[in-house]
Amino acid sequence: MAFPANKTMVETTLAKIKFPRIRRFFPFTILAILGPGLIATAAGNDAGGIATYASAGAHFGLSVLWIMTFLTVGFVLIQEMAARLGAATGKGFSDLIRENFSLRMTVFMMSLLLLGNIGLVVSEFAGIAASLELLGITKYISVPVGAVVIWFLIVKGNYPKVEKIFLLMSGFLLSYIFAAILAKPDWNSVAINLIRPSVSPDPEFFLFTVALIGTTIAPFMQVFAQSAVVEKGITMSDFKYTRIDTLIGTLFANLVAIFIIIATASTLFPAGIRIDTAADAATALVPFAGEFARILFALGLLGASLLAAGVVPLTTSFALANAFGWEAGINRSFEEAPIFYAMFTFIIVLSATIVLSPALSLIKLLVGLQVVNGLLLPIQLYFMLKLANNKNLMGKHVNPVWFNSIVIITMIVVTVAVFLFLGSSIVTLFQSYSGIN
Amino acid sequence: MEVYLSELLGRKITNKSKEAIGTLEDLVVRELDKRHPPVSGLLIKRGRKKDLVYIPAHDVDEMNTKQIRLTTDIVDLTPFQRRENEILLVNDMYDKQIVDIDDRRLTRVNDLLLEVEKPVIRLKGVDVSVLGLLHRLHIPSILGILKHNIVDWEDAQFLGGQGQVKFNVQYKNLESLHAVDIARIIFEGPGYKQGSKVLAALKDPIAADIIEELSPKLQKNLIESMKLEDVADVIKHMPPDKAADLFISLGPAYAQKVFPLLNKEDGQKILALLSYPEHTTGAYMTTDYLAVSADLNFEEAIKLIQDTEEMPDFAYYIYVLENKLSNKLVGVLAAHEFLLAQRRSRIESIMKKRPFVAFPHDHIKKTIRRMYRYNISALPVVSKSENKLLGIVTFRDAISVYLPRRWKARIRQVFTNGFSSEQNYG
Repeated sequence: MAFPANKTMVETTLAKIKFPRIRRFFPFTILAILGPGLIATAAGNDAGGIATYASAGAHFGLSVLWIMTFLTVGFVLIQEMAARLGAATGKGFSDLIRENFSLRMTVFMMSLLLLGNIGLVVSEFAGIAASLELLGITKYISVPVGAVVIWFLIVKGNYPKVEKIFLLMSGFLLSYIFAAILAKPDWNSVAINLIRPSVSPDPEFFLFTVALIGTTIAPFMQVFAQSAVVEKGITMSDFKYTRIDTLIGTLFANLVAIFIIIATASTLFPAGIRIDTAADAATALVPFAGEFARILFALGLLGASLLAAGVVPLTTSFALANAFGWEAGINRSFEEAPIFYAMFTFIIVLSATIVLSPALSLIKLLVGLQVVNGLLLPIQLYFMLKLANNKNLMGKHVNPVWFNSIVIITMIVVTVAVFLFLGSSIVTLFQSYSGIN
Repeated sequence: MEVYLSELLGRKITNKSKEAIGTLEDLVVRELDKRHPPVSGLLIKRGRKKDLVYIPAHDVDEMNTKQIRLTTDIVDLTPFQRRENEILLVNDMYDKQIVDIDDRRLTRVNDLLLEVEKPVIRLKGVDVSVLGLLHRLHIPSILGILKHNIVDWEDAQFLGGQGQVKFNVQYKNLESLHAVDIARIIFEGPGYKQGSKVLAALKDPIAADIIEELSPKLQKNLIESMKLEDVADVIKHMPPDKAADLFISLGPAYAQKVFPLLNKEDGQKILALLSYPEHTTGAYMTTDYLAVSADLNFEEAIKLIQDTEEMPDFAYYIYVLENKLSNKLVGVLAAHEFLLAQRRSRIESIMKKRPFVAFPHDHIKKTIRRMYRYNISALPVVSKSENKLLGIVTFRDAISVYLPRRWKARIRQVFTNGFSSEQNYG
């Protein structure tokens, strides 16, 4: 019996075998592929994010909504580019930087990343403190306990499972959507403001634009999305699922952001109430949304902050370790990967300490670190664009021209906004000094 | 004299009559697979916007951290053109990943250690320390608490880069590691893309071992990026049961494409294994075993085993068949019984008759109980009617029924890194 003649035998045998296959039932398929994209962006709606969206809405009403529309387009493309870099090269962002740019550039980029991400972690711990203060727990208990819990969950526990719980908790942020609907906004004007750009001459408008950019497109999200794609071994052949994941994650995150703005714009803005923090936002919204909303807002904030407080230090330590060739990974022992563990622990301990130290002005520090992130974004985008247009690395998966142009426009807008902001703060600083003398 | 490459770069190069002719830009190496490869030449930059110039290493008179002097005044000023298999140390090797063979880990080239012993300059080792990084950046180290960490070139494996210029990298050093470690290193570090390039350059049997050790998802990614012929070549080196497992993770469409490329015998063996339903002993069986016929004597049997092309992974038992032509199982010999046997004795007289067997449609758990009860580490699987030997099932393979979905726990753990969370291999 010659083998090739056995084609029917091959077919019948193959037909009998139970091959593992992806379930075709739509909702389950979606749930199964929702992963890195959603985590990266959900972690973005953290304490800093909520505070920014809520106070932007309270200060300027619905007129800032168009900024979010603009940012959503840029955000989706940037996240997709990050994931595609991972899928096409099979390498993390920092590996690509080290191998394709000079050592000096690598060190420069990694230092910015470390600094900016420490700032993010500080704001996450501030978020943990604020959310639990809403529930009546002092920050001197919540922050140290939070830090220890996160550390143990990542180092000793099953972090992936816990991550999903945090993700679900941050789902409580959806309650802002109900708050927005309860506030009975003028939906016509919402629709108009989403597409009609309007610029306010108010100097604070700049500050809010920069803050909105910085908190919506945080640089760590791209690094995380790319390394998660590499980690899962996703290749270009199954990249379409990752695209859907990225799209859903980014849209979900920005939808929540838009509803937070609508909620505060239609309640606090007409009443003339100004707020500065996420906790303020929650408290201020209670009269409009009901006492129960306070708990939902608090849990949502807690979930998003815990999620990011775990993901950001981990991503940062991975990125740095990969760039400099140190052993990394939570499946390694302390002896095998000492630098990785030291860095990871250091980021968490330092951030928790900063949040608790009474001597430092947290708000000023957070603003400063947010600026580092704002500066980091265009630089990181530059590197990403360079890499994503490198034919050697990406093959046929390089950026298309339209894609490049939109990302470059976003990059220019971000850069200009950041520099205007920096310029105006230097002027303010100068004025306040001359005012004193 | 030992010197770091970073201390030489940018140094002034003077000719015999002490005229400065340029600065050092890079070093060229040709025989990277040597124990300590010699530097074949220097690349010199002669000022801004000028092409690089090549100077053979034997023209170098003196080379230290202060100066580089040549023995000659004659320098060939034709611009440097890169030829095949020339590796530029700065361009191709700095910042790239290498495998530290002793520690079985991936790391990066922070600096390179050279040995200058007139008239040859050799590549001695790779500096993977933080101090090496600071050296490159010309940042003085604080208080001298940091130490260099040099991996000797003998114990390092360069993985190649992604540059336009192709050069062949020999993976001799890498091949000395266990397949599990190679799999972890080449897919965890450089990513599956470069990993599959490395894999393609390894010898087929080693590549087969590595693929066997990968998680189903990685297997799938990897195989799909390989050429069909290469896949068939690698599968030829796999035991049929491993190949069958591989086909299950690849899916029916791909399996149909590869089957015609396999030879008839291998293909039928794999197909036979694939046709057993889940949870039967047959599905856990391998057809990779040692067998001799009963009518041989001890010496002939030894000769037969010695001539076996590829030894099976599990060879603790030697199965005895009635004769060369029939596959009828008549006895079994454990390795220790075989070792103690008289040289002239016939196999028939030393074998254990009526061995314990399992049938292909027995539930695998029943077979496990049987092995456990009689303290046997592998059972022959025979056809119920004719007692024909179909394959064997080892205890190790059998207990994988208790692992989630026959999931290769060992490797999966190696790959579960950081924040990976998906384990649903369907």
